Amino acid sequence: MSAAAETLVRVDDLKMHFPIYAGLLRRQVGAVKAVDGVSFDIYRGETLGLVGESGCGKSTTGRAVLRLYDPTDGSVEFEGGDIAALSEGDMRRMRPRMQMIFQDPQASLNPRMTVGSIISEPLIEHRDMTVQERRERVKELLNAVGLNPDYINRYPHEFSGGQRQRIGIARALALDPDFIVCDEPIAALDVSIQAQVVNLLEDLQQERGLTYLFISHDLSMVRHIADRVAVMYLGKIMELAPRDALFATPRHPYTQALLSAVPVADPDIEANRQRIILTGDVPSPSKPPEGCVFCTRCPLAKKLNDEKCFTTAPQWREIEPGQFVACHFAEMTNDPAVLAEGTPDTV
Amino acid sequence: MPLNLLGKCRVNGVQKRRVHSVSSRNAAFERLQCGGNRLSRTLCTLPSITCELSLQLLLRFFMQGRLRCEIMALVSPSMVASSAPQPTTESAVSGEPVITVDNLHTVFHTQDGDVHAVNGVTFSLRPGELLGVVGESGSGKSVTMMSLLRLLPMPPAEITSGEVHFGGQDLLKLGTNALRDLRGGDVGFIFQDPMTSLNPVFTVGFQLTEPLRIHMGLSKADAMERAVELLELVGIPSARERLKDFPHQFSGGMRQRVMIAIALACDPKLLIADEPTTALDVTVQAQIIELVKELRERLGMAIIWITHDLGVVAGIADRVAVMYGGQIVEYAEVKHLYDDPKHPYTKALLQTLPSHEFAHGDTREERLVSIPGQAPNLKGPLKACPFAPRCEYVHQRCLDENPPMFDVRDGQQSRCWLEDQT
Repeated sequence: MSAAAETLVRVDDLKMHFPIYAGLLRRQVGAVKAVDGVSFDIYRGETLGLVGESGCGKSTTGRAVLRLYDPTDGSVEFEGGDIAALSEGDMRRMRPRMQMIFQDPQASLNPRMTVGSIISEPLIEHRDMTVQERRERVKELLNAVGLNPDYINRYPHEFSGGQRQRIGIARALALDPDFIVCDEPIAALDVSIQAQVVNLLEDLQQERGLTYLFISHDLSMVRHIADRVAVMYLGKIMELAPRDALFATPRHPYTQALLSAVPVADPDIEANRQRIILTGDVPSPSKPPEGCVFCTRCPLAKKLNDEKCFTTAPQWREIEPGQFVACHFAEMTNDPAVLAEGTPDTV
Repeated sequence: MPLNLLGKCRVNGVQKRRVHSVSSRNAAFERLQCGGNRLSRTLCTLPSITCELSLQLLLRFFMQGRLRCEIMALVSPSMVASSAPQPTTESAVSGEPVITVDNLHTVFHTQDGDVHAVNGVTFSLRPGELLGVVGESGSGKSVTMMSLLRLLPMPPAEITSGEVHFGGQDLLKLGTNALRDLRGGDVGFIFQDPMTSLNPVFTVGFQLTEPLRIHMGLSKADAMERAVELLELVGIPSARERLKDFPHQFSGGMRQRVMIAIALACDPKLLIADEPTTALDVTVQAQIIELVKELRERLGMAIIWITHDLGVVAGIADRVAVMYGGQIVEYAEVKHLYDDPKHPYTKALLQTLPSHEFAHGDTREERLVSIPGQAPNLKGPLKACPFAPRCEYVHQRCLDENPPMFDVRDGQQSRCWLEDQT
């Protein structure tokens, strides 16, 4: 959004491996490479969309960025300081600046606490306020997210799904953060309610200059809200580009397949479009394929049958200004000559 | 006893009209030889023996102990050949409706009062047709479909009125056993979440052969053969080995394929798919949609596809029913619905979707259109239009009376007072 692109968060070669223990002695026999070398920048005031299928590591990335997990390797810089290396006490002082909105509003709100106590909990932890001040602040927050401040003494079950998500947003806003990780904030909501929550997030961003990492699997919603979009697959980012460039000219074969798989609410378009149907399933993140992680399902790799795809991991490179791709043949993916000669996987 | 059997055969024999593989026919002989209560089921799987005369002959032979040789004569190769490629010829969307649902009402009796989940749903489906049912959670789409086969726990649920005609019978009046023959037989059901609808302690092979053995009376070995065919049909590689695997050894997409295979096991005339792709990723969803499209062309069954995703429906359905507050509020051909929606709810729903033109344009500046308010509370019978509190065209009449279905144009109906021409 802002032209002066000041980097707020810089993630460099972030790795998050979860060890697998097996055998009588519970020795480590391997690791689930949930996030395996992810790098990106988030500029102040922008929304970075992070999309991918389930199990690709997008939520893990979001949590590792906030250091809800201790990353295995790599660094996360927040305003220039590496938070991956902070001590717990220092990290605690950083927390108010970075917050999270969770996917399932039902599960992320304690059913035994009133809305007031849920939202004031971060204030109790991090701010020195009297009870009266806190109550005022909570009412102010409820107002900001479009809930009636009189609901302060109600319990989460008295609210609908969309309203509960608003409570979650109010809690995230309580400490005036700069950066919010939204982990699938609308996935559990109905279509007509999704729009309300997305509009609220956009309004709050405008008012308060918030920076979002917006994690979602809903490409059309990400296209609406994000300034730049990163596409993840099996723990790695496949492509990162400004929103319009990504949706107009996707360069990575995976991005292309993902975009073509999204159903469009228009029967005419649906009847005539060429779908790229990926065959097979996502490989296990504990045993990712050698070479490019996408090579087992990649239509391009199948067609070119180039050894490089199966042996060497592709370089993360800038193919157009601002558009980064991890593919050996990114130049060829939009070449009509390559696509023309009998694509076996298009239906 | 024999006479009873005869009656049952005749009724079922007319309904069941499909031929299975050669192996299943052999299995039928086997069952006949062991006789007894398996007889009626077995006869149904023999398509060439559908007329009453042959049945009576057969039965007489059976009672005289001359069955074996006579049956060989009855099922001659020519008869098998003539009846084998049956379904493909009637796959076009035409003919008598497979299922007709008329004014269905379902109520849940709860401690806090009655919840009217389905309020007068009416639709019909012809062979080979795909009806998309769209609605938000709580709109009654799943409860409607569960009511058709009386799959709801009763009590608390109660189907208070309505008729469901399927294969010449009213399903709501059918006895428990007859209904049981239909479930998984002539009507296949795919549930939303493949993980919770497959039993984790049985192999996929067992769960797939169960309907085959119960509904078609196949032997274990024959059912296994058919199960392999089915898994291959839905695109699972090395099907024979995978039959021994348990559900947790399959990925989400594969599990949903197994569910589809189970639903298709007995060649249903009607397939009800309750949000079959909601739990899946988009690329896997695209695979499943292509699979269902292909199977529908090949097998020619009618399909009811429940979803909340308007995009999925646009690509797959012939007609669409939009549900809100336990009613169908708009019913139209898919093209009409998206080009020219009539009901205010459909209009609003289509507007809430972010723009899908991927080519250009800055959608960022546009705000998403949202529908204010929330889904209705269905406690108590509907006295007004359930959408009225959220509707931008609301007027006094909407609050006084619930509108009936109005015909807007050929095949398009809308439940809104705005369409009242009188």
